[in-house]
Amino acid sequence: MTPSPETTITSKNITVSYGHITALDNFSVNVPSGIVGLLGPNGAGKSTFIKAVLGLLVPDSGQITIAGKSLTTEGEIIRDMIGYMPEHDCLIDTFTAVELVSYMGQISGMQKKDAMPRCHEMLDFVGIGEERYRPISSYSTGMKQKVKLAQAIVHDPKILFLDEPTNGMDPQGREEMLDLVKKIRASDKSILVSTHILDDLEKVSDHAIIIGEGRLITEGGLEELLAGKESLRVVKVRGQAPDMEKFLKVLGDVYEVRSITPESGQTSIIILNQGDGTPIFRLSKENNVQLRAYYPHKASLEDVFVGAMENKGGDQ
Amino acid sequence: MGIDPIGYKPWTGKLTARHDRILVIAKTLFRTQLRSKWFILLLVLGYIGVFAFPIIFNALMPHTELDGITMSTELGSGLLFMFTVLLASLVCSDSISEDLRSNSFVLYFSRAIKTESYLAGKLGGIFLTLALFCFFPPIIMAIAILGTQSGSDYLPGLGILALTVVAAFVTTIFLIPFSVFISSLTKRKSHAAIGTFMTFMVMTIIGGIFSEFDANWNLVSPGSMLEYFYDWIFGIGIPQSINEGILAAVFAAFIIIPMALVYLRVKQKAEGK
Repeated sequence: MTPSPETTITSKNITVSYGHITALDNFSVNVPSGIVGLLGPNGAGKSTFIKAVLGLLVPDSGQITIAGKSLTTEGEIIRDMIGYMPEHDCLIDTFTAVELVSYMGQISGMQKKDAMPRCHEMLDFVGIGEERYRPISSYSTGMKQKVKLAQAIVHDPKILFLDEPTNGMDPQGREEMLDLVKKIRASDKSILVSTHILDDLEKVSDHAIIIGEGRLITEGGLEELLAGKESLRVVKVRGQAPDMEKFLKVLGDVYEVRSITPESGQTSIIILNQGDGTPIFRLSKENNVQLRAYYPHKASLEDVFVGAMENKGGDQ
Repeated sequence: MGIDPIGYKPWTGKLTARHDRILVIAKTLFRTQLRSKWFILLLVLGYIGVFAFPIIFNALMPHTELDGITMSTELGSGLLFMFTVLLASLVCSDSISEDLRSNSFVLYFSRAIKTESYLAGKLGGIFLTLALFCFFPPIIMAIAILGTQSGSDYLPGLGILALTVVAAFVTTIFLIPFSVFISSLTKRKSHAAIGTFMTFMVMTIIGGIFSEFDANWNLVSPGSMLEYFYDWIFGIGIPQSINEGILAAVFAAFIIIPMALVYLRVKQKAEGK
């Protein structure tokens, strides 16, 4: 795996163990710039990977490089470039949002005269209003998530790690959070988002890394992953029941049919077709069914994820 | 979406040196403590009860110079020790336990803050806070006595003033490591505060009981330990029955062992264990 010039994080053969449990097992990946989704079921090793990259835990073996710098020798320089939004509750809840975010700005290396206006700017950005002067203990989960994001970006890091950013948020809050992530991305940052909510990731990320049981299952650009490695096609047809029956039988003899779904007045069929679509048109004409649509099948991220996890199971 | 939805703006300022961030942690802890009404109440009561009257009394009492016996006696008073223990329990109680409770270690250690820097910041903040009671008032007392002396030779008095600075520094730092250690064991600051206070009291009682058999048992009592130390600093000399080697060893143990344990505990937490 050769890192591309745009690679933000490179991990080579990382192994992290907690006692007898191996959380990351020879995990190697190149994380490109842009918004990258880190996907995996609970306990897959997502948070462990982020902690290892942050230098919060020392891997048993392997190497991590961030923006071309070694985590082992230049850990502090790297951490000055990083912002981290943890998954769990971590806010000092006796502080107000203003106190906490400006404090975090200062311990990230900002002077007080810079940290205070920047803190207000970031709280405005994430949508915390006058509540910013109340102790964090009185905040809702959604507001706490926003404060966590504000403290992660207050020092304008080049690389941002978001661990389950929409955790515990209602649908509107999730949309707002994803919108914020997209806005941050616009300022040319690299953002690694760890989540198990696939819909969220599909909306914002450019690249996805799927991890399971501490190992890399698959990775790639989102479009590439969603297009799928197989040539699946959607065929939508309409016709009389006997004709449809004949058509489906003939189609099944020629192609591998993955699914047949009745829709309002028509039938949607997913087939595996490596060649062109001419025979489909011919078959539909011969069987007296009306071909309404024929196009490449685009999988959802959930399909990709489930497929990847199933393949992983098959590999073992 | 908030009162004024805005886009993300980059920040182009320059980062401060990493050691400056230790000072930020210390100052924040200090400011937080100054907002505590219990701390202010204890501080005011302590000023009045422990320092105001002795300062006035010693200044008005005819004296030719500032001497070591006066300062050792004043610093070794039971009331000063009691207030020092109360304030140390209060101030140190939420130093680590607050971060344990809120899981906020990750906020520090995901930044360019090492365990050593974090602890230096916390200890610095506690020192600044306790210094308001343990460090500056004894020095003020010594200056007041020195300033009102009838004798014309100020040189010996200045020497005692310098020793007072050392003794006040020792008073300030002596109880911090153990109190911070107790704070690192619990997520509840009330448990940490009561635990710290009770531990010092129990140690004092144990020292008192067993010193009947061997005077060196007095060294288990933090108050007695400080008294011996003041006597040693001011050149009065410690009782023959006390072994100087044991005194030095117990004093070092009071500081080094709790700090080592706190370091390991915080390091463990920094790694998310």
